[in-house]
Amino acid sequence: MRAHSVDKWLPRLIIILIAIFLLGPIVATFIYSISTVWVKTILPSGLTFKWYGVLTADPDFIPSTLRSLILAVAVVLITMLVFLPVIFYANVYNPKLKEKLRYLSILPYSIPGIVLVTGLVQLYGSLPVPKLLILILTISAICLPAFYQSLNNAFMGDDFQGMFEQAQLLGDSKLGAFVRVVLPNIRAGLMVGLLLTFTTAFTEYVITNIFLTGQYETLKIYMYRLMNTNGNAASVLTIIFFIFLGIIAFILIKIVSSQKRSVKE
Amino acid sequence: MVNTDNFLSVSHLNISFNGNTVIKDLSFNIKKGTLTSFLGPSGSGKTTVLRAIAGLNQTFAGQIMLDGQDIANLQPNQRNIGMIFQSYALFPNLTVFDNIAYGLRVQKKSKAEIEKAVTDMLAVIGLTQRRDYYPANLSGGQRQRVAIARSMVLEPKLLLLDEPLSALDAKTRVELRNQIKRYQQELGITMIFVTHDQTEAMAISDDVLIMSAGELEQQGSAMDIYANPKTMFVADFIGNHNVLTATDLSKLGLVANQTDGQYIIRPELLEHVMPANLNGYAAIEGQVVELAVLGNRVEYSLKTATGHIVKAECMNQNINFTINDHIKVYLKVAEIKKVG
Repeated sequence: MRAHSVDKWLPRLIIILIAIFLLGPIVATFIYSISTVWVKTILPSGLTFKWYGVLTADPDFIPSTLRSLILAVAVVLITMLVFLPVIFYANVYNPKLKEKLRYLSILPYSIPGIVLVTGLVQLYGSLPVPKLLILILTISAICLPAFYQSLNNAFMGDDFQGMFEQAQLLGDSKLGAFVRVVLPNIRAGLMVGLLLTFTTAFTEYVITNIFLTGQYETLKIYMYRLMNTNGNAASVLTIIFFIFLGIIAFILIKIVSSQKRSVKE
Repeated sequence: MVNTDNFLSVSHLNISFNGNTVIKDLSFNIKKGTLTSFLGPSGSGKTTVLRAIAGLNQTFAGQIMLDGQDIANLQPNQRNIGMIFQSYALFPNLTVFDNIAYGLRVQKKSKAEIEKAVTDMLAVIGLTQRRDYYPANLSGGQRQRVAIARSMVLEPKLLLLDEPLSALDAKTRVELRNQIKRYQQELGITMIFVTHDQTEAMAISDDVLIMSAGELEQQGSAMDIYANPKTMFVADFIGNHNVLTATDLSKLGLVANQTDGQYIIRPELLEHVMPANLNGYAAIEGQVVELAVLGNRVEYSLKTATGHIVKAECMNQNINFTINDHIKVYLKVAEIKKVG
């Protein structure tokens, strides 16, 4: 009986401890973002939303947000226009290429950011190509694993070669068959892949900061700079980041669960 | 004017993959309005030829003429050829109606035309009540009927069916096989039906084309190929024939002094009931070593005193022997055929 009781309560206790461990800093950051002063006391001296006003009034806030957006949208476009057709081709027509892609997609995990940046500077630093473009291409490559895996799963369910060829036999062009038949049937995997790509690019810090030596200040770089000058405003930005990622996670969960429902039907 | 005997004319077709020649100098003609089966074992190149005709494999040498037009360099969407895949290849995101309407929408037909054509086709395949269903909610047989309707609604010059029944259960296979034949006859579409099942090919085809290792073994009507196989491969593949040499025939006391070569005896020609007139007949005596009741038919094997195994079959109703019995079977000597 006693053992049964421990079996019941121990997992719950562990989960509660993990939840406190994970949520504690977020709650503390939020409280710090709305506190007037919180130094050497257990609780803040007072509460205020003025730091939200201070952050949004900062002339660097909107430009850095736009820079992050530009970077993320450019990476998403490259992913759609370059990686998507390649992953489709590898999955449907060339399993050997798929194997190579699988290994290639693991590479960004195994190469530390600093090594990647050093290599990039040496290889492309002297080329007459805008560094921002090289940065966008590099981040696109870093986003490949998540995008590749999301799409790979999407291609597993159906006979996409048969469907793609059938659409052409029914009179459609290759592009028409791809847009009208392939894309709607990988919609969920594609959306998940693109959202993961967007968030990875939007929140990227290491490579952007080192490769462009702070000249292209994204929201993440701005956040780290803010930490040294105004802790409360930096907390506000952290909370905004958290809410933004929370919304993306919510959309991802919705997409995945809606796909499951349609399968059950 | 196009000769209807050469509606589809394939000449000297050669196809290689990674240096391996998989189709070797293949030539054949197909008549307009007929159903021709490509029959052969797995790996014989049937599907490869089909894909070349459809334009899905364009790396080949040779000529493909359809209705008097050289189609070798046309894209799949320019050939007006339909194809049914073994996997159905239905579009999971579209309803039955929208799947069938796909090609008509690509052709930018009016809404009214699409509605009429698809509704008519749904009636032909008997799925009017399922028009708003998604493919996931249909049985295998229903899915394949939608796939066939989706191609037929475009009235293609040629409809290619790549093992369309192989994923279905035995009963549905027979039903759908007969339906395909009915559609073909009612709509007059020229069809090529790929299968490795000789019974299926025999049952459905006007013409059968037998392939082995990328080469054409024989082309002709199902009955002609069954009765007069030209090669040992065809004799072996198309039926459960007894294959014997001239020496074997002599030892069994059937006929003497035959020229060298191989001879076939069809199992259903061996009769276990003694004919009223034995003129022109020979008898084979042996012990029943195998006996299989296949519903209305019985297949059995005799082991003769010379050690030969002779396969025979008869209808089930008047069988008067059982396993291990010693019996005699009778054969018209004129029915012994030399191969080739």
